[in-house]
Amino acid sequence: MLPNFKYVRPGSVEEAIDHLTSEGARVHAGGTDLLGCLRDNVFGALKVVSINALDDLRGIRQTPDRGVRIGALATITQVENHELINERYKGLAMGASEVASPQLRNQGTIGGNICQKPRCWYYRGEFHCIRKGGNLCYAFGGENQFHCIFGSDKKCCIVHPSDIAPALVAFDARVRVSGHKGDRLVPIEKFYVLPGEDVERETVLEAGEIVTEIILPPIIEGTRSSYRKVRARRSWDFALAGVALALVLKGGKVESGRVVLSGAAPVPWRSHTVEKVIIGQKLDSKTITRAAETAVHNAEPLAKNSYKIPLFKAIIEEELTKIAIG
Amino acid sequence: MNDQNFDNKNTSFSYLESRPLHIGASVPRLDAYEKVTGKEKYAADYYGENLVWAGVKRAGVPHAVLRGIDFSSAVKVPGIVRVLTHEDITGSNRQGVIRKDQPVLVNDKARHCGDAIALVLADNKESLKEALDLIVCDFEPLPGVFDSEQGLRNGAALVHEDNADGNRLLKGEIKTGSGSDAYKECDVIVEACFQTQSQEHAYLETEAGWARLLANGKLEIVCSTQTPFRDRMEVAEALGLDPTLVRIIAPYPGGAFGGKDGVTVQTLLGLAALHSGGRPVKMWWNREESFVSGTKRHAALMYYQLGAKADGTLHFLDVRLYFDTGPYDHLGGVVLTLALEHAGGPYRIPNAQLTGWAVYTNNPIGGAFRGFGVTQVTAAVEQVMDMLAQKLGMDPVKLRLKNATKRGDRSCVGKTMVCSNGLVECLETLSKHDLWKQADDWKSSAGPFKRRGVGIAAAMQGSGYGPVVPDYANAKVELTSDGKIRVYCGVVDMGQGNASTNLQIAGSILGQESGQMELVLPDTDRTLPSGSASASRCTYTFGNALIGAAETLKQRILQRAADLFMASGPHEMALIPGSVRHLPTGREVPLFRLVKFFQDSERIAVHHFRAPVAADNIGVSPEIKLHGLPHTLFSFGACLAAVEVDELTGAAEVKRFLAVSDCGKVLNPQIYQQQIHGGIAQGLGYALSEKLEVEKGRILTTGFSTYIIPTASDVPEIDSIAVEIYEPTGPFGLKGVGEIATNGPLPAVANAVADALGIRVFESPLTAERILEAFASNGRQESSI
Repeated sequence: MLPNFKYVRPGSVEEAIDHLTSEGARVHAGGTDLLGCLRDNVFGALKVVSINALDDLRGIRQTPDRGVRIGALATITQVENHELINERYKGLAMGASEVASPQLRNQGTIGGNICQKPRCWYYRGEFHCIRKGGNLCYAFGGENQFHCIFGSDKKCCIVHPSDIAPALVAFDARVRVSGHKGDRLVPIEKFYVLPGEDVERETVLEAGEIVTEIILPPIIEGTRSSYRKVRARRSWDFALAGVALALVLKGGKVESGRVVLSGAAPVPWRSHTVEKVIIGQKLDSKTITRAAETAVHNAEPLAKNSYKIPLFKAIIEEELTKIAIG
Repeated sequence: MNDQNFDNKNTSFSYLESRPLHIGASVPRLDAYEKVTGKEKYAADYYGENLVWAGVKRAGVPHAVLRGIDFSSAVKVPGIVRVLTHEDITGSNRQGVIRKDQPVLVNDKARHCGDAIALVLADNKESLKEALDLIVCDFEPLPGVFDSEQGLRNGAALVHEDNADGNRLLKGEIKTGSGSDAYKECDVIVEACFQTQSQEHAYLETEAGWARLLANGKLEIVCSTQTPFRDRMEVAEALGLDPTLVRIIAPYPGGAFGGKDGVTVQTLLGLAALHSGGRPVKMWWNREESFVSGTKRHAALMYYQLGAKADGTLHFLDVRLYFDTGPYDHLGGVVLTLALEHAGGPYRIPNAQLTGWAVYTNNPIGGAFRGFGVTQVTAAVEQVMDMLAQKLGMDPVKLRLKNATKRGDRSCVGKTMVCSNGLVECLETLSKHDLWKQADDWKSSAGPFKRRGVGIAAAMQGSGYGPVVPDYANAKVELTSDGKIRVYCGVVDMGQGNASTNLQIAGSILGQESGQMELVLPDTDRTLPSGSASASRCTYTFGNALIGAAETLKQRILQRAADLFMASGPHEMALIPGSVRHLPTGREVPLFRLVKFFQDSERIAVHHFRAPVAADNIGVSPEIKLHGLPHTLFSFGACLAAVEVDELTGAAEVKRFLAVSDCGKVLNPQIYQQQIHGGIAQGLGYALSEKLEVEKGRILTTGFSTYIIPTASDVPEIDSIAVEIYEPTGPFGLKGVGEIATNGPLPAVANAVADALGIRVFESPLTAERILEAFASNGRQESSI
């Protein structure tokens, strides 16, 4: 059951921010994650601040420098289907198309997607876990088959549930955060917080701050991108393992690019080790095999998720091969 | 009070174009329109003025002595009507179908996390939730039993201290021929251990109901149930009431699959209504509560040895079954007994030693689930059959055909199979299908990183209650005072479509179209006792009774019309839609006129039917007999799964599925196919993705984001073929179709995966993880399974 809360629907970002600084305020956009969290008592709410009247936060358009600006209220479906994104940022469109189910993609927003709460069953269940202010992560000694293999900092082993954020990291997007002190642009890689830094938050958002837009830099010529997600069910299921790639190929070699894993860590996990192996190299089978091996080299699987190791190796090998073929 | 809220209305179908109701025609389901337009009123749709919400405080711990319940803060919450505990129950406070071992409200100790501790009545849902959170249970934790083999060991914690057999609910032993000694006479023996998981019913409509106590002392309960007549007795006994003062009204459940075979909300609602001061009471479990407190398909551990002669003739079977029944019997003993009876599949095996244990644990409750024990053992026996075929170098279809029972043969428990048996036809139809004939071509055209395999499985499913518990139905048909035909269904339609089929049966006999028909859904005050909606028995048993009632009414109508027309006899008369016609003259009398010449007592015809039972004594213990062994009526099937496995991820995808089934004659092809398709989808979820995560008795997967049931995009194109062998005892030649299709998918998929990879995964579901693990450990070499 939902708790009792006040509901406001402010008409400006400033007003929304004012409301959000009050105690127990929660931001509401698509509501697909918020309502579930409230109903499952993951956290409470005294005031729900809908930002759905803020039309400035809608829409997807090209920026003067030929980048793309995606309003925080753009729906996942709009991201999935947008012509510019499909043309230039294919991996992002692919990521969006893998999110949840058609209904949830129609309702959910990109801003909400990158800020969503983890799906760990202890966190979502009646366990007062470390992320909810307790002193224990139950998953370390419990059922951890869907938990992380990187970045737990021995504190909390959630995985970040977004399929979109890894693609945004791959494209080096920036997130516009608006708050009382004005706006700031945060590179999305820096937007997420590891358990070692602060186990009770997933992002750098402070109280009263909201995501207002996401900015993709202009695409570099020769970029090839993709997103691959492995899941138990073909619709409405989170990633067991996933990889977002955005690589710039020139003269048959990888000139630059990023490799980002989903379902791997508490944040979208940039695999610098793989990047190091492939950058400056031709994507031949030897390089690809080495990259796949390297990807999981420092992984720290838990008692029940070592399956993710061969899985990541396999999908990195497969996706790099596809990129190499073009 | 608004009478609209509880009146069990007669449903008519005036909004639909009136259709002829012929047996064998694909008449659209008559409930479809009301359901898809949202007009159909389910148990969860009952409200009413001055409503009280009832909710349950659950134990939340798997095993603990209940030392006390402190609800002093809870009763202070504004809007709280009452807080009730076991002390408020004047009856036996025990429920159960066979063994009454489940408390309505715990009085001694909690035996699983979903146990009900206290019942709270409130003016609104908000107060209810607040009060439930404020109730404090004083528990003294006990060590738990979370595994059926562990539960049988000496020194295991006891779930029921008063059970003479420790944690053993039921042990069944059956020996035929020379039993295990026959292994010496075999040329080939294969052995394996299989583990199948708990499965959640996952119905759309969670457990729900509404109740009120009338001034005259009658307790009315509207609930989502498969068993209204049994519920009446259970509620009365547990609460210490006269059963004739309990009325159960059963609207269409929004899915049940066995999970509503027995009491869920009923007794709690009845108790609440006794203490609500005459106000109506509503209870509606949310999804999490449904997961935690509802029953599951029994998790099973199955040890198999199957032996054959060099030519493939089956000779010997040794089986040991461990079924985890959770803390209460529910129907665990019966489920185990059906598993034993079907442990050897639909084959002739002259020597068998079958032993099974249903074991109490502190896990969620094991109970009825479509397939009912047969699903588990079919998964095992159909895989050892493939292992045997491989060892013998035989074609798996030919091995099955060689050993298939035919009418007059004996099953593995020694029961002579007297009913119609289309197993051979099913297997032959499958072997002639392109999916089988062209399997090699299909397999060899797999793309990069993919491997393909084709697997088959055969199955049989006994229907009805077995030799002891009477499997009967009482049909009632009425010529209404305005000339319509009203059918009183005594057996629930939980979505199978049997209510619609009942109208088709009565309509075809009485010559009426859907527009002249009315329906009354099960209601202990209006319809007659007809048993449970379970065991593939609904249309078989009730249909037979209905034929009798409809024929009686038909003769009465024709006779009265003949008398009116001064015809020489009823043979000159015929029922046509809305009228009776005198054939020689063409004169007609509308039914609404004719009925004026009936006395009220003549307008209703009833008929009792009791299903035949096995006549042979096969020498099993009276206890096992009581639990339902042996059956006498069986449906049969054979199926094929074409599966593609991703070498990189281990994910298995079912690309095509073929089901050939013998369920006797088909009365309505559309409803028949829906049953087959639904059974397959549910079976594929069981095979591939449905995995209840339970940690020390506590379920972690309490919603559909973590408990993965298939969606439309996970179910492949299905070819379903009916082999229509006429069953002489069935209504119009029919046998049950409700369960047979659920049994094949797991073994067929497992056999296909083994065919694709050369390795076998012995534990279900066959998740990508398990397949990849098996593949990684010995996949790249040839394996000899």
